[in-house]
Amino acid sequence: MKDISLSLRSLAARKLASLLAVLLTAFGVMMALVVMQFTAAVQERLARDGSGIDIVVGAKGSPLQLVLSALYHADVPSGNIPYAEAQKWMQHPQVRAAYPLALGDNWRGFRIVGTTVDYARHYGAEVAEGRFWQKPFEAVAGADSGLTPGARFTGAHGLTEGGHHHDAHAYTVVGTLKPTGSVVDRLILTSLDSVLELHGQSLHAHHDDDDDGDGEGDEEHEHHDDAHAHGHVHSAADITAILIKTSGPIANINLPRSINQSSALIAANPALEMARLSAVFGVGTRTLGLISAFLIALAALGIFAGIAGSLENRQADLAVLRALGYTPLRLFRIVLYEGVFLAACGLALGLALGIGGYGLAVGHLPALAHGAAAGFQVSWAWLSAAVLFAGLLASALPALRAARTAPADMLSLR
Amino acid sequence: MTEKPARRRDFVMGILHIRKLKHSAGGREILNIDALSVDSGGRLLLLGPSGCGKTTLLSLMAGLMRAQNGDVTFDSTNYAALSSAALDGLRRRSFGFVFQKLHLLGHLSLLENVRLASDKPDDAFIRALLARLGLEGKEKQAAHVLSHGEAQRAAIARALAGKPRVLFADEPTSALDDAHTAAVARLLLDETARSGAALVVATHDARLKPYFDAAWEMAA
Repeated sequence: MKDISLSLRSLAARKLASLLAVLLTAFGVMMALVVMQFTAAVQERLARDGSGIDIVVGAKGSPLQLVLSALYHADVPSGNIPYAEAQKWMQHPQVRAAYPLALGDNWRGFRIVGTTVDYARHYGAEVAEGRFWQKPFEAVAGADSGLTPGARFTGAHGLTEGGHHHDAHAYTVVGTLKPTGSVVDRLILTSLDSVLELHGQSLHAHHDDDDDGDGEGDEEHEHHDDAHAHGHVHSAADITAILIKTSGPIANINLPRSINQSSALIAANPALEMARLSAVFGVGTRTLGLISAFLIALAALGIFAGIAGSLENRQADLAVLRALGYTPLRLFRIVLYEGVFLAACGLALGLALGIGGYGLAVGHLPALAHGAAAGFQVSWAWLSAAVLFAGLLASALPALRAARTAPADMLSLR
Repeated sequence: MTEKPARRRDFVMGILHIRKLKHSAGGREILNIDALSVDSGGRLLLLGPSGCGKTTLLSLMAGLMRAQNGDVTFDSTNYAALSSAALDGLRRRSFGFVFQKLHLLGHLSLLENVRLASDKPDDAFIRALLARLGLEGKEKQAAHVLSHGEAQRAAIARALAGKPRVLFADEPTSALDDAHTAAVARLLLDETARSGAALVVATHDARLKPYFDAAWEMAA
């Protein structure tokens, strides 16, 4: 009989205690794994959404809110900025690329973003079907929206579901985008003009109807009513924010300073703002991490208690094995295997639960659905090693005690 | 048993020898044996009342205890010269044990208990052995549900499964009636005769005396 089978048979002889130890280990591992995956996915997501954007410029208010609303589309904007002012900065020599954004409406919770085609391209978005917009009220839908080319929809006022519908202004989907794993997947993109016109503004002093047919004229008319209904007035065009890629590290420092000093706008550094935010939610992550470590330690203690307790009843068995010629080393191994096996089972179950459970949870978090890091992470290897080591440690002491068992001399077994 | 003929026989086929063995427990000398030998394939009965030291002697011969004074040698190997692990290996390769209380591992099946005796169990041999012992069909049963008679035979099967050269049995019949005593004695004798193993039995049970050519009788 192989030593490992002896270990397994001994575990099978006390199923309940073994099962408990396995479950306890599995829960610890599962929790650690979910925390790790969630942290990794969020960080990857933040990094991808924020990549290449050095400065976010918007209305005065909280820089964090500006970054969250304009870069991650996770908050409402603090206000609008005059397009004329924005353009001044977009043409600044230290700006390599600038993407103006006009927010205000949504379709079923997907934000309708007035911007330039370059914004989509910045995130590597390619057209899956159809084409990019060419006229106002043509829209390109991100991969998660479920819209298909040819579909018509109206935007609802506000950035979350349930706002007043701009019923008179229907957008036509002219293209859909391939998944990018970035925020663009959850956006509906259109021209800057579309959004501004809808809210009673124009990029141009006089809206020219040259390239629009009669239908467009009708919309123009309707939109006036719409604007009045919201209490908007015609004004010089306002947009929401600009995302800026600067010409280099020095510009990253200088440009925000000039913007903050010499205009009514603020410039926020996304990396800095997100670092501040991470510092806050990092506490939560760390707490969950500590709880998982505590659970795993508790599981190791459970393994120790189970094996140490069973040794009390196995003294005679071990002494008989010694008499049958089992060396102390073999007895040590047999008991050690028990702990490692329990830890390994708990680890396997925990990995399955952690990966599966996270997959299920992410299904309810659209923001992490695409490109969520479900693949192997180096930290998992460390987690696995730590759990196996805990099992080894938990069984090492009882194993040492087992190894010290003297062979059953005939007297002692009477 | 006298010393001289024993020594002459050793020369031909002695396999286990005791020389000038002294052993004390609790400040009292319990063993003082000048010479004692077991022949290859021979039979030795250590007979005496409780406390006479026969179990200690059995343990010393089987390498389960170390001798305080004197030598125990098996197949020209002096136990004193062996490391603990080497002595474990010697027991595993060469000896089989039937304990008074049998000591099967309760959570293992009968067959698993029997196979414990060897690292490379000879399954055909074990099957035949179990059949002879009337344990066919019981292989999968957990040891703790076996009847006493079955457990006794399973213990003998375990002692023989590793094809030992010496089988040591401690009080194998102490709790048995005459009929069972005779059956167990026959099993031990027949099986060791079949395999050519020597048999050393320690007992206070005089009923076993007729089965052995000679007995090493010990006084309290």
